[in-house]
Amino acid sequence: MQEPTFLILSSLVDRPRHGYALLGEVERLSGGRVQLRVGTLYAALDRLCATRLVEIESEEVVSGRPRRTYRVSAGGVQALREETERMLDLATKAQARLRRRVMAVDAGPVTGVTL
Amino acid sequence: MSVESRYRLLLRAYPSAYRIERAEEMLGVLLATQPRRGARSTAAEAMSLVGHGLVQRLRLVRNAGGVSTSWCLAGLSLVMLLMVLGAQQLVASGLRALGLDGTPEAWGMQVLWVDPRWPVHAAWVLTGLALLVGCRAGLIVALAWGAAGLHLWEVASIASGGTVPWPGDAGPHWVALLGPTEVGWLLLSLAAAALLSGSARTARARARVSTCRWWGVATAGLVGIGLGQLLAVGTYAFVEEAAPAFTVLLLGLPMALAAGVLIHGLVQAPSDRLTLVVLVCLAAVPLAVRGTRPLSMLSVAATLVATGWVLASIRLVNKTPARTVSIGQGPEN
Repeated sequence: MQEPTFLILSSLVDRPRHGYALLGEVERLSGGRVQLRVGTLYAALDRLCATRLVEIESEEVVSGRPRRTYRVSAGGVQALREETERMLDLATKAQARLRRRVMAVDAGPVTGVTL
Repeated sequence: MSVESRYRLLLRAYPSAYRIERAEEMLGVLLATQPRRGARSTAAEAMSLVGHGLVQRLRLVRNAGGVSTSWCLAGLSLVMLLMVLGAQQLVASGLRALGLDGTPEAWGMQVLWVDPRWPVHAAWVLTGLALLVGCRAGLIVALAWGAAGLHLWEVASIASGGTVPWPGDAGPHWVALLGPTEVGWLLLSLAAAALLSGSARTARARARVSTCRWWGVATAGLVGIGLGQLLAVGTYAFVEEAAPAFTVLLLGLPMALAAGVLIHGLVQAPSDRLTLVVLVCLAAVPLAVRGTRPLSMLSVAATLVATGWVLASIRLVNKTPARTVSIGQGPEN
């Protein structure tokens, strides 16, 4: 799963949102690191709608323009759950190895260096 | 240019069906986020819009199977053309062998002088027949490349002045000269084989057009050319000095047929621009072979037949509902 997709699904899990709100929520979730482009956002939304992970909840007219609200589907929640578990599993393994590396250097050959 | 009109211009990168669904919504979001943005971010946004728009266009083309199948269809119609012309040349040789070509003085020799290009003609006739009787697409592609390869071999033999041996030279034969006509024919042969672009595409392209159409085109071409050939022979038999121009006029029968098909196709066809470009380029090859030789006229006629047929088949292709984009439903392939 690509990062924009993951972030969009995460943003939709707590409540349905429309396009502009999604952009803001993704930025907030990533701590300001990821600022999605509108083109990328809609490309991801198209992909998610096509694979039925996201649905259009409603459509209203705001300032003369249509505004669609998107919500995550049950399939989307499941996909996000699986992806989160996968990432968590990988991150845990990587963290364990990093800890072992730190300990190994600590107990390494006599160099007189302490960390 | 106002910000909104600039974004509208950028959104034109997306295909029109997509724009109808999405453009206003995207524009709303773009304008809402505009105040927060710096110049660099705006440029990145513009590039993202154009990039994603082009990707959407490519996806449309891929789903419709449009461009690639059209090229393949053009190739298949070229194969038909070469089959018809190859058959014509073989029939002409046959008439000569039977002494029926109507010019006893010229061909009074007992020996049959063969057109050294007969293997190439036979190969294209075989390929065309394979298409008509519904052989596997892989076989058709293999035969087409075989015929094009044979043609290349023949031209190499002529170009090398006979150093490269050529099977068609067995027995008494004409001397073929390497002129623009020969090169033009070689280019058509190679183009026909190349346009088929593989057996998968050929199978798909052939599936889009019913076999009846292929048979119809083949029949029209063969009948037209056969009639022209026989009438030319008849002219020589009954007219003392057969004016070459008159003979050429008779061979224009297939040209008349082709013009009718072309006009019909043009009136009906929606714009499938790339196919048109291909056909115009291919048509220019024999047209560039300017001259009063009947063969050149024949090549023009036959190219028109192929053009008209493919244009007519475009109408059939676009009848299948493959070009609509529905957001929210995935591409089903």
